[in-house]
Order: sequence, then structure tokens, then C-alpha cells
Amino acid sequence: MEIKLFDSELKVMDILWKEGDTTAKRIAEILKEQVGWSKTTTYTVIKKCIAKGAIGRYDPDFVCHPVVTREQTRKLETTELINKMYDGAADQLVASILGWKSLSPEEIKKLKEIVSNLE
Amino acid sequence: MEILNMSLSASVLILAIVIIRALALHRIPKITFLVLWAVALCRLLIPFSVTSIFSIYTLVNMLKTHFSSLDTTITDMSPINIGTAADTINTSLAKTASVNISPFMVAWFIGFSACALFFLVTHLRWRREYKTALPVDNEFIKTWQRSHPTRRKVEIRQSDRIAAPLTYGIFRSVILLPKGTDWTHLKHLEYILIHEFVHIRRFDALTKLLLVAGVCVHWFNPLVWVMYVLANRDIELSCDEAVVRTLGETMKSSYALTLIGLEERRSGIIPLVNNFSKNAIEERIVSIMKMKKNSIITLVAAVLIVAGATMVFATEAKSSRGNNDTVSSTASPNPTTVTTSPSSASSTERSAKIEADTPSAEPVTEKALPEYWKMGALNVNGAPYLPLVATAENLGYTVNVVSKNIDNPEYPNTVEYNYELVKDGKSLGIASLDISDGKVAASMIDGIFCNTHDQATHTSIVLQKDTVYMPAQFFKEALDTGNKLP
Repeated sequence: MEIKLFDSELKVMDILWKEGDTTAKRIAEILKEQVGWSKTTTYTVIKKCIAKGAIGRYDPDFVCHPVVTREQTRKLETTELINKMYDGAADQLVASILGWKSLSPEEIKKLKEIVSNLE
Repeated sequence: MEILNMSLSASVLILAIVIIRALALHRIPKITFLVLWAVALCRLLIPFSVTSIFSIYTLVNMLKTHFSSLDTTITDMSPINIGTAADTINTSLAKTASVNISPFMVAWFIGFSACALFFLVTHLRWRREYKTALPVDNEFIKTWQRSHPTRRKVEIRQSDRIAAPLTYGIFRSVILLPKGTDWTHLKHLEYILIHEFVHIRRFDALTKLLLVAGVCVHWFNPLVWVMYVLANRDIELSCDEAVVRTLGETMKSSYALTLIGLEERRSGIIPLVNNFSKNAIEERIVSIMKMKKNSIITLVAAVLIVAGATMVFATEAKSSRGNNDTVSSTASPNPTTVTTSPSSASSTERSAKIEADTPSAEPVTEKALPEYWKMGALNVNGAPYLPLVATAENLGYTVNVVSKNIDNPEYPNTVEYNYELVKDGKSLGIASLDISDGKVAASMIDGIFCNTHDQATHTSIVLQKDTVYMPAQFFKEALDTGNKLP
């Protein structure tokens, strides 16, 4: 399932990924605090997410449930980036990240673990 | 019909501005055009007229009197509103709506609604999108905003749904920056912010809204659409001018490059509007690069152009009457002197107008004259004149008199009387006269303006002993549908 989300929609998804199922009212409260959206604005964005199939809702209280996972979204966005900037070669992306980002010994250890798991 | 009137007279002004703009766009301060557009917008949206002897319509009227066979349409415009109803906009509006809804009115209303709906829906849809923008977390922008306080609250946000920076909201403005903005390029950011702040300070969002209103009301007038496009461009040009003035002239090429950069990004995303906006952006860049310091000469030229164009193209001929402030009451004139007020319009024009109402009208013959004298007709230079109210009532009309004060410097203490004749639910605003200090200053029959200074003819209104007399010929042509008169 490929669902392309805009920044505003990701903002809503972020909350759901962090907090789990949340009522629309609560999301509106959080976002009012965080980004200054009005209640209607938040509801508009939630409705868009529902229409796209990224959020499922159940009653009572209009509880929102994340249908797409953070991993799925990350995969989609990253694939897009790889295709656009690295000719579809994932190793080039990793290489370029390792090239400009200085990693801590701990992070390097973690990466080594991931690689050895793959082998 | 009032709208058609306003549209036509504004069209002349718009045409003049378009020509002036083509000739002097890069030579005079851009604000000049904004002022001119504002005048045009006033003409389009506010139903009033200012008179001036320098008006182009004075010239037209002069030509018309000299060559009476020349049937110009411009003065024909004014009779329309006076001829259909007792010309007080407020009082007659309800009546016109219920009594004679012409197909033109219906067509206009449909067009108006369609336009208004289109703009409203597009606007609301975008606005809902803009609302979902996210805050910007940028140290430079925060510092910049702190050093540029505004009276109204201004928010700066970012959105991944737009391609170029924009501002929305009249009283609580929000500046939206595209997500792809190069946040590290501080100079670009500053240019963009200055530009948008000029828009906010000048209430340009409100101006744009008024332009949309103009287009909706005058949707049938292509010149108004031309104005809409050009005025929107001039708002940008004038804004650029203000930015360059703040930055200093040396920065103008750097600013122009920023604009080109923004445009590149935009056209990459929306290729369809490319062609049209390319023309506009080219105009913007050229105008920025050609910008010079305003010299005294250009400023004087700008003032002269605004004053001249407004005086010549935005005013009515001196003889026209202003029809604002309406004080309606039923009253009857109480003059003491007999004054004749002949028509300056040619008789061919008048009969052509009336033919539609009573095709069978025949001229008053010599043979019929004695009968008129018997009826108590007034003898004015040999022509029979009948009392307006009594005769109209005999012919089956209900007579309503509406009076209003139309004080103006030329004719002080002036009261205008409008005689509205109603029959079978149809309203004929037939005669109107202005009485200034007990004397007739001007009169109008069937929408034809009569000038007191002209020679007496048989198409005038006569006042005698509180009674208004009108030519028998006129009754026959305009009102006597049953051929009751001899």
C-alpha cells in the first residue's frame, strides 16, 4: 500500500504513531498547542487522512487509529529519495550518509550489528 | 441597467489607463497605476458620479448639439436609469425586481453568481489548504520579524503545497513560504520577507478582493477582466518598487535574480500556467531593472496623469445630475414663475425611443387644436400643453411624485421631482424636473435632458400656478395607448 502523505498529514500521523489510538478531539488539542491549528483545520487534515486510507476511525468519540505504519511511510519516502537522487541504488545513499555524517562509536556498533544480521 | 451604465463609463477610463500604462509603465512610479485602477474600481463599484466641465462627455455632448444627426450612444446611457423608474435607486429597486425582471437582469445575475461562486469556492478551497501549513523554526526569520514589528499580527509558516511564497489574510496575515525554500540563503529570505511585508502593510489582499468584486459585478465586460489582470500585475510591480527602494538601487539585480529563482521553481511544478506568467515575470524583471530614482519631473508627471485622467475620463459632463442621497416623499412643486425648458435632443431620437410604446401615435394636427384649447390646454408658442397629473390620470395612469434634494454648488436649494406614471403594473418614469430657488433648473422628458438655455421647442415642461404642463404631442406619443386624445 502506497500512500503519499503531505507534511500536514504527517503531523497528524506522528501523533498517532507516538501515542497510539487517539480521539480526534485530543489530536486537535495537541496540534493547537504544537503548530497553532484550529480545530477545523485539524479535522480537515484528519478527514483527508481517512480518505487516503492512512487513518481508520471508530466510534464512539471519533477515535483515530493509524492504518499505515511509520515504517511503511519511511520506506515510501526513502524509496522515492533513492530513486530520485541515487538512481535506485540504496548502497549509494548509505555511502553518502556515512560520508558526511560523523557517527558515534555506538552508532557504528549498531550499524555493524544490522549488517551482520543481514548476512 | 445602472450596472451597464457604470460598466460603460468605467470602460472608457480603463481603456485610457491601459494606453497610459503601455506608454509610461517604466517611466513613472508604479503607484500611479494603482491610484488610477482604484479610481476605475470606484467607478465600477460605487454608483455615483462627479461632474466636471473637463469631462470627455462634455465634449461628446458639445459635438452632439452641433451635429444633432450624430446619434452618439454615450448620452443615451443616462436616460436608461431615469427612464425606467423613478430613478431613486433605493426606492425603485424592489419595484424593478418584482415588476420588470428583464432577461438581461436574469442573465447578469446568473453570470454574477457563477463568477462569485467560482472565486469563493477556489478561495475557500485554497484557504483550507493554507491553514494546514506548519510553523517555521528558523532563527533568522524570528530575528527578522522581531526587528520588523507590524501593527497587525503576522505569522510566518511553511507549506509543502505551494511553489512560491505568498501572503493571505487581510487582518490577520499569514506569510506562507514553500517547503523547498533555501533556508540558508539569508539574502533571499530577507527579500521575500520584505516583499510580503510590503503587501501586508498596503492591504493588498483587500485590494485584490475588491478587484474580484469588480470582475464579478462586471463579468460581461472584457475590459474589466483586462483591468483585473493588469491591476494584479501592477500590485506586484509597485511592491517590487517599494522593496528596491528599501534595499537600495544597487541591490536591484540581486533582487531580480531572487524572483527569477522563485519563478523557475514555480514553473517546474505548474507547467500549464507557464506561458501566461512568463509574460508577467518578464515585465516584473524588466521593470525592476529599469527602475530609476524618482525625479521631480516623474513625480509631477505622475500627479498630472492621475489628475488629468480622473478629471477627463472618470467624471460626467457638467450638466448631468448627481443622484445620490435620496430623500423620498410625496410632494408637488410650488413654483411661481413660468419657465420653459426645451430639449436639446433631436426629435428623431425621441420618437424612435417612444415608438415601441405607442406605435399608432400621430402628430397633433391643426384641426385638433381647438379641441385642446377646450380641454384647458396651455398655449405655448402655439403648441398645446396639457396638465401632467390630470391628463395622465384621465388616460388611466396612477401618478406618483418622488422628490429629493440634490443640492449642488451650481444650483443651490435644488429639489428634483420625479413623476412616475404607473399603469397595469408597468412603471414609466416619464418626467423629471429640478427646481432651484423656485425656478426650473433642468427638466427631463422620457429621459431626454432639457436645457433651460436652449431655444423653446415643443418638447419641454412648463410650470404654471403649481401645475406641471407637458406637450400634448408628448402625451399622444408616449402615453395615449388608447388614442383618447384628439
